[in-house]
Amino acid sequence: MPELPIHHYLAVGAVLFALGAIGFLARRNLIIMFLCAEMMLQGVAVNLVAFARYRGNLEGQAFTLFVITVAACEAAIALALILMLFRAKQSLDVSLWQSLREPHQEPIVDEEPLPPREKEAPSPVLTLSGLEPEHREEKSHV
Amino acid sequence: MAPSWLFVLPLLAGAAAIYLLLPRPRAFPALWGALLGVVALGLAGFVVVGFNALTPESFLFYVFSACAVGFGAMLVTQRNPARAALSFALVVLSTCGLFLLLAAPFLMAATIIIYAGAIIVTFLFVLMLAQQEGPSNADARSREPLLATVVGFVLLGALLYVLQLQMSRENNEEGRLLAEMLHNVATTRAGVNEATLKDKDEYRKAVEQPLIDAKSDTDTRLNAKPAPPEPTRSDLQRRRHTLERLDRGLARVTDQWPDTKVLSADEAKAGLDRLETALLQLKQRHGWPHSDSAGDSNLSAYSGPQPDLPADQVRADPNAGGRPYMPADNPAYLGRSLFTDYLLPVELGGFLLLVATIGAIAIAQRRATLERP
Repeated sequence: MPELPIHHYLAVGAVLFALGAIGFLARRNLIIMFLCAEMMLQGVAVNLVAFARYRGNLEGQAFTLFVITVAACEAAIALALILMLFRAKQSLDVSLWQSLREPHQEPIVDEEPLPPREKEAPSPVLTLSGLEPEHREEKSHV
Repeated sequence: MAPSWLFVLPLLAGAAAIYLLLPRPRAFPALWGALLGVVALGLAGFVVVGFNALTPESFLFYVFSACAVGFGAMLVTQRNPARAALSFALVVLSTCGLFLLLAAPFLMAATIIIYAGAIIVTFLFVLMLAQQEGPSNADARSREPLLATVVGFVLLGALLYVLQLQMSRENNEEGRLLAEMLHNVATTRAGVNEATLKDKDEYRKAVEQPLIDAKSDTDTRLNAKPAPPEPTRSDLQRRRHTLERLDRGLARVTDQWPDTKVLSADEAKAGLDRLETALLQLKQRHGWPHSDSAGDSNLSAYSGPQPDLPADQVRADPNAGGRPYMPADNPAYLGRSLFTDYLLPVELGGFLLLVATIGAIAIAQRRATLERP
């Protein structure tokens, strides 16, 4: 049986890592930024497990376990921080904290207006008990 | 085989798809981006599957990796954070499928429980606490979508190019020849087991036959005038050089064979053993995986077989190309490994978790409520 070369797994890990990097750089929602960082860790984990498999020992898998441990710690701290930041500005937008930028950098100004809010369908309302509900004419499709 | 630039095509399509799909106030139609993304995945599949026969393992691999990449792209481009969290859960599940293919069932279970179970649920809780109505700056805008996409895909292109260079180097003549010779050793050993005593030269010839064939073939081609699709002269010369190197490596072993012309069964077996070890060493030295120099691993035998353990002492799976048995022994080996070789890191990990818990509680505390009388 022809076995799959390790490069295939490394390529998948690289793609996950790059996608996570793009998301971390481009997105402005704090929570999505942290999800993207977790995805980068997943890419690294795929690499490590693939190496463990093709070397025939467990160093890569043990290392992946520690990566998962650190990711769990990171998630706990990050979520606590996100909550604190949200309480301060009432928003998850990371650009609201651009006062922390380097002194010579220009601030980002959002010029284009946001699209108007989409109208949501109203929640269904039941008639009060004891009243006769509105009768609608039934249409037959037969 | 020279590295081909075909892999750039899916990369370009993928970069365009991600750029179009990243959220912005006046969004491009989502259909174009989605179509481009599907085209990118299809192209990638065409480029990769074009070189490989489809086996159950590779089929599952392609399915899981396509899911992982597709849902990863959705996570990056999704406007709704709750949907992004769910896409991340799907990325994790696909990765767990890859872990299973890589014979890591314990890690698969741990990843599902910790990521898809604990982390995603916590993220969803925070999302509910920090819910925003309607389109917000955070979700409907991106920072520098073009630059971010270019940076990410240039990084990816560089990584894939290096991978492909490495891969084309390993698909070389030498690895194929060595595999063939190892196969011949195995078949010759079967003949020895039937206790048919043969001539020493015949044994040698049986093992070295692929090398001899390849050499004569290279020589005829070197001397003949090359037709256009044939490999170039310098390629052939490099091949000749490789063959000579292999021959020298093999000669060093065969010289140690017993001097008698006719071999006893034990002598023949011992000679074949030595040959096999030498071939494996040659394979490790020139092909992949590159083994470390013997004996420099600091891990005990509890962490699985050592890299320098002789190949015939590793409990190997004959159905998986001689790779060690991994799935069945995985949790046991992993547990023993963690509590022997990695005891200190495990303790440190536990300590880190404790510190993180205390830190999270300290950070998330409402200060204002404390100051109330």
